[in-house]
Amino acid sequence: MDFLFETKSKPTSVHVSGNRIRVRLENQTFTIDTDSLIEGLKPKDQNLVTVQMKDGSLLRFLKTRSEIFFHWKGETWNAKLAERSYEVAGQTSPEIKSPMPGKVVQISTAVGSEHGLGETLLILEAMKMENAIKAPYPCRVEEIRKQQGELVQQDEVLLILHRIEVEKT
Amino acid sequence: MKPIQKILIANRGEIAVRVIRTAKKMGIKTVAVYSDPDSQSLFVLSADEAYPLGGTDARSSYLNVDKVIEACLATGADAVHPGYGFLSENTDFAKKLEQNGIRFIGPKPHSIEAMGDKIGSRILVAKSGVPVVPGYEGQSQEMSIFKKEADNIGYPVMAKASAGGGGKGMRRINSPDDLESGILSAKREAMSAFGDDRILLEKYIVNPRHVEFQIFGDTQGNIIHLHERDCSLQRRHQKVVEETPAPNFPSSLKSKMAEAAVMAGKAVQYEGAGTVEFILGESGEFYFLEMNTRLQVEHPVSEMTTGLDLVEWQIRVCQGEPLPILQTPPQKGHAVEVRIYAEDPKEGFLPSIGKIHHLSFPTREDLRIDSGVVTGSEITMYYDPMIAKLIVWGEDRETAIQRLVECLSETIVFGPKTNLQFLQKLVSTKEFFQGKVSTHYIADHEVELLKENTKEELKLALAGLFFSSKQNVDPWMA
Repeated sequence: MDFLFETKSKPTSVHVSGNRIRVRLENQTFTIDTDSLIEGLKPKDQNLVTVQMKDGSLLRFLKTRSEIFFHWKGETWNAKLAERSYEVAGQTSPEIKSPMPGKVVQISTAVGSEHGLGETLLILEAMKMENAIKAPYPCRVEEIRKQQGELVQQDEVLLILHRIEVEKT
Repeated sequence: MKPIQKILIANRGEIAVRVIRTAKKMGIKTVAVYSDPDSQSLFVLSADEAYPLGGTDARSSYLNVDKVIEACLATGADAVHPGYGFLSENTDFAKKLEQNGIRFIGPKPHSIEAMGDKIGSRILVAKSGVPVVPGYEGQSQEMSIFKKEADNIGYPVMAKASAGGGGKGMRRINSPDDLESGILSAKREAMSAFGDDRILLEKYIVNPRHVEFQIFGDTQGNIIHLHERDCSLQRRHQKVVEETPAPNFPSSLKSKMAEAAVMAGKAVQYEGAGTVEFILGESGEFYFLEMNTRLQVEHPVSEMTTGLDLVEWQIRVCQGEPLPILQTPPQKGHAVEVRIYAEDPKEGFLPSIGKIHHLSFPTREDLRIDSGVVTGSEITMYYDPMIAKLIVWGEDRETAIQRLVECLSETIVFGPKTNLQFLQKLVSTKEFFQGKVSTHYIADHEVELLKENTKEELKLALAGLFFSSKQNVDPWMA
């Protein structure tokens, strides 16, 4: 599963596969094995999920709608999902839902248009950040539920797509 | 004098919560006043009554004297506690309250006025024998006079704009050769900043410490001191860490400074809680800086080491009672306070606003938390972005600092960025541990104090893992 995070410099991608996490930061790739880090999950403590790390330290975290906060060894940080990667945003569902509350700032498609995987369909603005909603699979746009300038809530349906089977070459 | 029945707190946040706590203990009713963004704040919910001032920013609410007085009359409050900041040193407010038959829990207006003016207070306390920074503040702005005066004071000297404030129009001058150019450049800056280019000269104190004394006076003319606080760790003239007793502070020096502090209080017939601030040089020379005619943010360290409740003393003195003790009580152990702010140290400590998704502190006996916010509160752009003051007590200084480091690392704030990590680094430095810091320490060491601990890729990996756990693939959950 791929995630794109908002960082100070550039967007950074994180690939999760089983117990292994691969981070691509600029031109470097780091691999981290979670088994060497994590001991187990502790019971909930003051509304925070607590994870016991291998070195005995506790990692606490809290998830909100589009952000996740961490506290570990006296440090606090957060990560924002800058843009949902196409693998996450709906998989094969025909409905494309809004990943967060925001405003539709641009519609880059029209009913009947055909798009390849990863092409931008719509741009949503939230917290002064633009988030591109991309085609999760090769598709044809069946319906556009929102208009430019409209405010949307999380999980509101933005678009309805029809999946196009790609010819095998 | 009739005992106080109902106190209106002309302040907000942590300060109001602090005053309400003591008033409740004493069986006195409390009234909170609040602006529109504060309507659901902890202090509003904690008070017995709440009165809306309207407005959003401080100017249109907490600083509006007429609105606050109207609130007193409407709620029948017979006294006002101004907290610290806002109207606490506003003589116009104190006088207007008096005219309306409402008691002001603070010094008499004449004391506030006398200490409010930097040059005036300097002349006043110097007359009573308190040392002030040697300097020249005469009328003449002739270069030849400046030269003669600077030679008398001894180099380095500081040229300061007479109308100055906030570090503008200030120049350090190291030798007679630099005098003319330094003064002219200070004058140019003063002219463009304040439209007034008058300059005064002061002795430049190398690597100074900031040590202040808590004093207390009553209506019977008694004034005592309640020990010192060392507030040397500052950033842009804002205190960051405060402690008592001051480290590496010989008792002979302490008694000399304490005596000077009481003299300064007597010079203005001081009533209530006040603080006399001194600048302390490397070789033990000390000078009066200014006197704050109010309770201060860092008063809890004094309370934790003396066992006193200074807000209770303020209320009792206001009711005309004599000080409960007429001699300085002994101090027990050591206390350190840090101020946790919603700010981003990496962005020049810019305030960081937004919702606090989670706020928790460790619970332990030797820790005191003074805070005006809770999980779910909003840090707005309208007011000071303080989240809490964390005050830790220890049998001795080493223990207090070790506990402070632990408490800071167990404090969790999710939402706005905070200075927590910066504070942890600061109180973990060797120099602080040895009590060898000056008011320049933070500015000189900012780069190392701002370094990150955890690697960026590890943070992102953890984030990726926990985000993906939403899809039910937590590898350790099974």
